[in-house]
Amino acid sequence: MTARGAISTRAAAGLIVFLALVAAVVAVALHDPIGRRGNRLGRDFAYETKDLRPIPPDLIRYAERAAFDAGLAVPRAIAVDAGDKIYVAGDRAVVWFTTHGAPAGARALDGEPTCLAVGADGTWHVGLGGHVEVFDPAGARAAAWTPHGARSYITAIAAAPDAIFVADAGERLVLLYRPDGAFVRPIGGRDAARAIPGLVVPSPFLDLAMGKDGLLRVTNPGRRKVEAYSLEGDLCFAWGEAGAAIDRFCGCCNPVHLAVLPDGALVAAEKGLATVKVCEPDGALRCVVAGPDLLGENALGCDVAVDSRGRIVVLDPAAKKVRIFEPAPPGGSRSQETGSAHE
Amino acid sequence: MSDHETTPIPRRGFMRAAARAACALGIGGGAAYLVAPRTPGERVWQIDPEKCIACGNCATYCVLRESAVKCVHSFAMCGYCELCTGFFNPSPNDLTTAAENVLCPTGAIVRRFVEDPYFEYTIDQNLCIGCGKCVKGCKMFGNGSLYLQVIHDRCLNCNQCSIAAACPSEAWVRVPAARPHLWKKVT
Ligand code: SF4
Ligand code: SF4
Ligand code: SF4
Repeated sequence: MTARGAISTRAAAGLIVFLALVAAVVAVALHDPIGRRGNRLGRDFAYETKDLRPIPPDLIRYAERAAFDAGLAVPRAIAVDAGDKIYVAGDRAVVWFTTHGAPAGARALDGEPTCLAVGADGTWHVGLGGHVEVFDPAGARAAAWTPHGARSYITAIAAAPDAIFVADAGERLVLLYRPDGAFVRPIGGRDAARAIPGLVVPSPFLDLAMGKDGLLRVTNPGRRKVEAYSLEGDLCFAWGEAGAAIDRFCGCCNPVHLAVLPDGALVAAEKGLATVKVCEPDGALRCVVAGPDLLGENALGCDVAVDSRGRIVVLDPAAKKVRIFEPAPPGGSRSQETGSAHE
Repeated sequence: MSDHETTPIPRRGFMRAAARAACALGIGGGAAYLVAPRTPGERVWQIDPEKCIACGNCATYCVLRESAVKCVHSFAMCGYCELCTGFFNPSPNDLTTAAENVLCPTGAIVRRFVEDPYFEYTIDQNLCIGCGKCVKGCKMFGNGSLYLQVIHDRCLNCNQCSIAAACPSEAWVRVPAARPHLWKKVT
């Protein structure tokens, strides 16, 4: 072999070794056994919700003024009594707090609570899965009502002086009772003759609240509507459109919780892109209390209540916190003043 | 064409179809189990649906060209929603099966009208690649009835599953081959 031939053979061998090294380095660099670089799927495979619900800052007209730990692993429902005491149900118990959020008492229950209401006279009504239990203002059990149907699952109760309204998500009905537990009539069942389309409840969220105009407001989550019923069960009007825009109800089943402000406006809470907003009694959006940037993205839904001063009390089940909101200049729902409520 | 214009399935017919589907699933599952070589006490890989965050890695980290992970649907948990957030984009133009409205990139979810306003959703496992996009939509807004499972007539039961190694939520567990699924339950 000539000297020139030997050199070119060595050069070729060197090139091969060099290329092999480069290939090895590239292979090592690309090897990702622990998924650090993500799924490498294209944009079509991404589920994007980040920009789905922009909330104009000037629509946010409440600020969080206080927040405190509910002290429960799975808080499920919230209510406020006539003296502004705050009650939270969960973990087979009802716990209550002063209006400033200081713990004030607790009472064990025989089952897992699904909802709770405290009437003007201090009587509690607690939904325990399929049935309702009644407690006197001191927390002593006064009655247990029999379930309405085999599929009953109670998700909300509203107490008026001479009527108790029970939202039965399992039977897809509102049940009207007298305070002594006597059943009066169902409301909201499909009835073509009365032009009632029927409640559609895809997930265990059906809520109601007594309006200041004497009409019962009931969520119809599967139709993304709020319906107004007379006490005789006539459907007076309904409002709500499906959509991600802030003046609509997003996802398969919303709104999930309702409360009524002293001036008659409705507080409506949505799950998914968790949002609490205030709507006029006829449904027009008035303002936003808090959106997903504070309440997060979750399928749990925040129960809501209103106290005598018009403060909106929100149970945030993801953070396991009670958050208290007050009207504020437009801008943002998280206030600088937020802190432990009772400090 | 609007889905409302498709032939409605009467409630009783729907229940019969559901029962047939459940039987078929049972027979299919049984057959898959018999075909796969199993030894007593053997353990296989499965996904704990309560831990899975539908990150998408299941679609791309399997040693198989087409992942052994697919979407399954719990009919008992499903709300049969008209606006299913596992089927439709988060902000659909219309509730029809037009491509711009639907969420699954491979068209693996089949929507059928049951009765007003209920629809049934089934997964065509031949088309599903286990990307988890529908799982995210269903979990975020709905009941979480769509979720991912390892399909055992596809899975090679590798000693070290390469998806398990890349799973950010430690959702992969070994389960007895005699009970190879972690089905979600209605609570
Ligand atoms: S979105 Fe992904 S996981 Fe869901 S059915 Fe389609 S391919 Fe399967
Ligand atoms: S064990 Fe192997 S074949 Fe089965 S899912 Fe994991 S990587 Fe895929
Ligand atoms: S890798 Fe883990 S978190 Fe991601 S989709 Fe698969 S099981 Fe779910």
